[in-house]
Amino acid sequence: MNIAETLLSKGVDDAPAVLHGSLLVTYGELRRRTDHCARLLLGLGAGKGDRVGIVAENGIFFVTAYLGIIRAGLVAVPLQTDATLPWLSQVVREAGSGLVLASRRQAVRWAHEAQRLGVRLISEATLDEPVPDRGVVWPDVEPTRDLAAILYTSGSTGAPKGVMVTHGNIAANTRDIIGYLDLRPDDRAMVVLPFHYCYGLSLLHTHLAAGSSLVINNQFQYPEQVLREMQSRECTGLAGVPSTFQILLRRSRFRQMRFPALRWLQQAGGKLPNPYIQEILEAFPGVRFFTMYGQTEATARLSYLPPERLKDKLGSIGRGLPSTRLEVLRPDGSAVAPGSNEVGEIVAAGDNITAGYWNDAAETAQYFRENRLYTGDLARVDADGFIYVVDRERDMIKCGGNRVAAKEVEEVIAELSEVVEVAVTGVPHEVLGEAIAAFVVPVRGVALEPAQVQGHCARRLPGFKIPERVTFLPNLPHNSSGKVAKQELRKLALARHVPPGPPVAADTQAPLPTSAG
Amino acid sequence: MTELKQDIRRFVVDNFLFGQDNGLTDDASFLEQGIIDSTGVLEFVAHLQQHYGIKIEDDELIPDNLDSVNAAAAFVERKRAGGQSP
Repeated sequence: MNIAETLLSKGVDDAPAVLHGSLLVTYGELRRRTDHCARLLLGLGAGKGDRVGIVAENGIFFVTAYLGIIRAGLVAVPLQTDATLPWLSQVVREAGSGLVLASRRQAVRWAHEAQRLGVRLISEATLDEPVPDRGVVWPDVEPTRDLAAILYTSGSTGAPKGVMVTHGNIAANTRDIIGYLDLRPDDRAMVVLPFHYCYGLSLLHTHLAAGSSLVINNQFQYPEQVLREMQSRECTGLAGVPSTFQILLRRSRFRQMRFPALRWLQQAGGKLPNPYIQEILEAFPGVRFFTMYGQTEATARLSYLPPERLKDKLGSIGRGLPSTRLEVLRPDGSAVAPGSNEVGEIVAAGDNITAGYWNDAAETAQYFRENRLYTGDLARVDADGFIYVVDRERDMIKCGGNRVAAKEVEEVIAELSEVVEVAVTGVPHEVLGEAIAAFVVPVRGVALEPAQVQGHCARRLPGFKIPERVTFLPNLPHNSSGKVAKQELRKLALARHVPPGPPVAADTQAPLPTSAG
Repeated sequence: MTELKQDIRRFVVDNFLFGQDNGLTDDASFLEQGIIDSTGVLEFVAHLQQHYGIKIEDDELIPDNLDSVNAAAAFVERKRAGGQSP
């Protein structure tokens, strides 16, 4: 079955599907609009499997366009609204999208570029026009093979990579997520994450499929406004990436405000340091807090930690999903020993593992092998099978013969109540290979010295894990998904640190570790 | 007030519009124009605090106080006079 139809099958006609500012669309209306959009696209001559771009802020138009494209048997390619035009043009060319659906604002921004690319731009306003009411032949969909979407991410080189998501991938992942979150028709989620990002898209999929409602607020610039809307709309849930919760905890009255309707909070998109999780648990004892783990390559989600295990398994990502089997493997393919400190790579199998990268056989062969996804995330497994992510392979800092997980140092610095957000990364060092550099956002109006941060680390960590450099910033650079852009920080560190540090004699280097921690 | 507006306007144009004025009017909403993202707001607030020696509370981070050159200038004036936000 076509996944767009499946997602829209549960909500009752009069129930609100999407609320955005003063606008509201019910499930009945959304089904009508989706059908209309699909007919319009097929009427323009689009055929099964054609890629159609969407460039739009979160809103009713995005939802309609996305579902309409998929309903017509076409492939939706959501584009980042804040990406540069050259990057977007590259994506449109790569994906071979002859059609792009654009919101009113984006249509203006795109008009010239679309013409240059020979792309037909369909503005939001066009969807209001009537479509000739003639018979449509709906393309058949084979769920395990046919694509519903291509989701573009920036690879480590910055070049766009398109993840191919099938109808069946979305069905499997959506079913699992609804199950563990226990989403119900009376749920009402506050959505601040962009729909062009797999996590934002998973919110759309799951809430529609559960027949519940999404409240869209694109003004997280003003967290206080978002919180007030959560109160007035009686939202039952909020989903965020680490920085969402860090900003709410340290730069809004989140903890002081009351949300009587709130049932759950969910967090993915990187590890929220444990001290923040503790604060949330203390401030909202009756609310279920889900820490989750995933990748675009797995549609969205790979694992979650059940809230009742937060106390005894704090920091774990859990053990997988009903449809997704996770293993932690050594380079030779055998499993690491549970209950040990041995670190391996997380490898996933299941119906949510996507079909690989669009038009990129080499990258696909590297990460997708024998129907399994090699995540590039390093982890260990405890005696009960709970998985703990140590770090991304590329976020391990190689410092004077040691391997230091950036995440471990971040967790320790985040214990300081003066710290809003912290990112730790390796920067080139002529003697150590890499030096540990910490970038810290202090709470407004608080004077914090590098020595205080280093002193705290010294009390909690062995010497070789103490950051050599501590830089204070008013905020960290984030990409459009809300993740910290560590490449930007490395550039910043290099720009700020000329000339390089004084030479260090070989015998003063940190000792070799007995354990990588 | 005029000087204050020019000051704030210059900061916004330099930091968020890369020096390109683009016909930004003093009452244009930064949100509607898509000028400032969430980290941008925090930068803007840090600048206002440092530059004008005021302290901005978390519950004052609302569009009414910050979402245009006019709004921000009026807000800074009120803060400097020791008044409360609306």
